[in-house]
Amino acid sequence: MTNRSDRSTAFLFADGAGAAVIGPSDILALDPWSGALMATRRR
Amino acid sequence: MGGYRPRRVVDNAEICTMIDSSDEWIRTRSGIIERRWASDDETIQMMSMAAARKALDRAGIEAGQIDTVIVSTVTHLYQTPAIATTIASELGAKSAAAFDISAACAGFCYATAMADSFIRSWRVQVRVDHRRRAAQLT
Repeated sequence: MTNRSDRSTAFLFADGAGAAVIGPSDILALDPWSGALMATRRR
Repeated sequence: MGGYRPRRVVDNAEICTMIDSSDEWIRTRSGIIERRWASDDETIQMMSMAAARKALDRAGIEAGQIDTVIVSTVTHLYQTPAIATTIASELGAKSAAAFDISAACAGFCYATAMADSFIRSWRVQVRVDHRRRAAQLT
């Protein structure tokens, strides 16, 4: 999948996992990078 | 939100034993100083579960409240079943829908957008689980 001997990309790849709980909110904003994920309003 | 980082730290010096590069070259072009590589016991399932449990704890909800589990990964080892079904089952989200998506590094954004659409049109509580594991599988 990746080439560990490719000097242009080998240093980029790593392992890990992240999880987010997302639910409805009265705030109409959704910004996955700020952590303000609870921001979706049901129609 | 929750996360899991593997135990093994791989610094630029170690990377440079595998490629013709240097710590200075990598730092100045990417800002990367070190990364984590998973050990054999740190599987997709193990790391995803650890991250998911933290996220649930911090959100203050029970697994049974989850309506959908979305896992974004390009390195699940099997075409079927989706790893999301395994995660949902192990978490105890027995009635949740569960499926995987594949969008590489952009997977978190795609999964979040899907969750947003589901919530707007359908259900209330959605969890997105993002997983990336590239270097370990070369």
